[in-house]
Amino acid sequence: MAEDKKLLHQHDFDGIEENDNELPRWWLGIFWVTIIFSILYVPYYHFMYPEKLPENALMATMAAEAEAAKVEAEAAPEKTGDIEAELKTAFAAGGWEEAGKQTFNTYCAACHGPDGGGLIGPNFTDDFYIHGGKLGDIVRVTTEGVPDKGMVPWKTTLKPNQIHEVSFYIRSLRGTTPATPKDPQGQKVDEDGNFVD
Amino acid sequence: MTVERFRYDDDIVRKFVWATVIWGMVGMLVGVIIALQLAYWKANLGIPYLTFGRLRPLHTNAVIFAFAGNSIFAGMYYASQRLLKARMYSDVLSRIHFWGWQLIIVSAAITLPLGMTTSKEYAELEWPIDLAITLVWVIMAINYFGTIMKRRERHLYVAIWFFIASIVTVAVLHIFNSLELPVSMTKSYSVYAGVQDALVQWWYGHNAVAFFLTTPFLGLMYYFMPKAANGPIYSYRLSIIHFWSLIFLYIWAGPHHLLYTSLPDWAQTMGMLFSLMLIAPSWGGMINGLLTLRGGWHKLREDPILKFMVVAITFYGMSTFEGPMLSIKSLNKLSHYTDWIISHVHGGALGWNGFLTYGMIYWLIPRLYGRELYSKKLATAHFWMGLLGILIYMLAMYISGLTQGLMWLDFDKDGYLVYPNFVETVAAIIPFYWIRFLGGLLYLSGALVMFYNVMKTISGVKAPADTEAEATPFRPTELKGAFHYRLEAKPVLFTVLTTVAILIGGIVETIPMIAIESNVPSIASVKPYTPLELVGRDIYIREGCNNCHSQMIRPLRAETERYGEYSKSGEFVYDHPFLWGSKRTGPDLHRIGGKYPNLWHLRHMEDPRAIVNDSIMPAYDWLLRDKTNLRDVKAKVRAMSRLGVPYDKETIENAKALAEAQAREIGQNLAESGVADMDDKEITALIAYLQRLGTDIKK
Repeated sequence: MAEDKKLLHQHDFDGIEENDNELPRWWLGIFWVTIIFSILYVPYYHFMYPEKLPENALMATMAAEAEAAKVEAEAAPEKTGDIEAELKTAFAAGGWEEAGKQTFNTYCAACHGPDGGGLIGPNFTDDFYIHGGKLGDIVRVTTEGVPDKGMVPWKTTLKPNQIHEVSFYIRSLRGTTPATPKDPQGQKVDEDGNFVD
Repeated sequence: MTVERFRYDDDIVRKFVWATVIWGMVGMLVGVIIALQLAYWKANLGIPYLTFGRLRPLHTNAVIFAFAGNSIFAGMYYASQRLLKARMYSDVLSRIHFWGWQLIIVSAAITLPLGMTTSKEYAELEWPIDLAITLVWVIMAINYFGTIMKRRERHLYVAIWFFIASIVTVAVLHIFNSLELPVSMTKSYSVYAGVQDALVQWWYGHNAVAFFLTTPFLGLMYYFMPKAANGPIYSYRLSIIHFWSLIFLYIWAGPHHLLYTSLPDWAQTMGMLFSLMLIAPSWGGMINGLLTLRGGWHKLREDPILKFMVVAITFYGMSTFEGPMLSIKSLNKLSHYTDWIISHVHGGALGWNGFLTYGMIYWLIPRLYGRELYSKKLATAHFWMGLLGILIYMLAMYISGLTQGLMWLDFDKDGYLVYPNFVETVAAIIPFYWIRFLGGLLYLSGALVMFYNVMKTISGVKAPADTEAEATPFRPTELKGAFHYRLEAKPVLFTVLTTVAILIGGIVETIPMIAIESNVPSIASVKPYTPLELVGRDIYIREGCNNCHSQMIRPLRAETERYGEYSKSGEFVYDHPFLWGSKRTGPDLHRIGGKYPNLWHLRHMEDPRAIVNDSIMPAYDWLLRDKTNLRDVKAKVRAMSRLGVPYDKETIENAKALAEAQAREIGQNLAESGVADMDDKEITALIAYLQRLGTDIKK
């Protein structure tokens, strides 16, 4: 080990002595690197590439996603025909039961009851609907929510196929007998889900 | 030459050592309890005073200001008297300092569980206690500088520099962050709002870490490490460079707690860059501490005191490297709001502050009581229990933080969040909460072993008389030598320069934030809270909701997707104090307003698990039973108006009637949903506040 460099005014404090060794070079190196990095970072981040700033970056991502969605929508074949009829066919075909139930239990049961009898949200087992009882209505309300009444839009959480599955499951609860049914809300609908007055 | 004989005040050191030992155990016990509550929420026993939101501030305040604080004072009083060759300036002031400080701690232990809190982290105590802290701190400062003035040693040793910087800076931080307008004896509002309050808070919060948990401990290290190692400090010139660079740079780094928030980008950049530049100054202290042991590493095998100190300094080095890394924005995106930060701070607190304190106490006890330590083996056992405890704790929190951070940001190939349900990301880390609890328990057990060891050491010993010392009196001869060497003999100039160094960063960052309007772009649709919402907000503060929930959605795709539109600084202009939070044990709440029906909130507060199966949130059923206190709602609205919140005269005059009317409206809605008689209950006020959150910009 190299000889310690002594302090010129060698003097102890309550018996504590101090050497006066050179600043370690690697230590000085770290200090200078961080200082130079900092000096360069400001013009780099704020002036040369302002698109990297958090809000700008988010805006760019959102714009790109919107653009992609638009392109996709344009490329997709125009939806024609009776959507309600297509949904009915898919509903009748089955295959959605297990997945729909699982989604329901995870996201819907808290407000609508594990058996769909209604708690905070309305009862799914009776013949009364607030926003319409057709399959398309259920899909629409699940997707877009009813923000005024505290129904969450699920389109950011659930994918389109999940929304279909859970909507079918909800439709299938109609006519079942829950443990503690909530009073009917909305208007009576017929078998197809159309309001009857 | 005449030699003066005098005695050091050892009694005051013994007092502070005891306070350290006892408050340390208390603070850590509270920590272990709240750690258990995160793993097993029922551990709050359904008692409002014991919920996580109220105990967490008690834990942080107890370990910072009671454990670390008393430790600083013990070491500072012992070392400074000897380094200055003088008894403390006034025995009476020393004792006022001691008893005043303990009284403040006791008042914190009473008021925080009662829910009396300002909500600002590490500054939760309400205004009468803030005043008491200021008073006691000033008394301590007078006593300390008085001692420096009557010193017999011409030059100030580096430990004293660090103590001076700590005393001055903590005073500045405490006073400016605690500026608040009282509403009653137990309630006040911060004079700053929103983003400005956040900046001032984290200027304080970060520098509480710097000037309460770092610089005074470096002062302790510079005395006790060479004493214990019996070797010279490695480099005097390194101590000069790292002292000045550390205190100058530290003060700028606060905004790294607010990266990706609505704090303006320029301030965020300052926070990140000054944090990076802090690596070297911090490591300067580590180098000087560790290299004191050069040539004596073999002593580590034998000596538990050196074990504690060397590991403490190593943890200091690791924390001061990890901190700057966490300040890099791209890493902060992942780590912010997660347990990674909890791991980081406990490396600092348990490793650096705790272990340096324990090393110091084991060194001091035999000297203060004139008897060998009862058992070196037990001290070594304490060391291993503590070290293992820290490692288990940190590793568990590190994995938990990383897990949760990655889950929050995870998208699938279709662009949907993989874990849209927040509670999934909670359930995933529960096992690590159990492991963390065990790590903390082990560390606490080590502290109990020390308590036993110290009790055994002093049993039957009568505290010896104060140590006698002798020194030649101060001779004001002409000063020679380099500038800094001469400066070390001029405490007034030294203190003035220190003050200038620590003020610059704070002034440059804070003044523009408050003075220049464009830093907080205003949003026309953002309006003040209604009187009832204000009362609900105070319930939110009382229950400490901000300890687990943020109100700050970062401009990241994963956050806007999960929570909604990212938060804008203009939305918080009436938030005295700001409630952004720093940790997401639960989800962000900034856009919770209008998301669910009133009944959802009522059911959820009454029993969170009725809505979210795996929730670990405490049940707040007392909110459905306790009546809303509307007695001082007018005083509250008026106080807000004095702080610049634009309430008109009618709103202030009719505050109570307005609050009651809004409560009836919500109560009626709840009644229609099947829960009657809630008009005058606290839950209604809280619902009013929650339903308002983040909704103004949608108007």
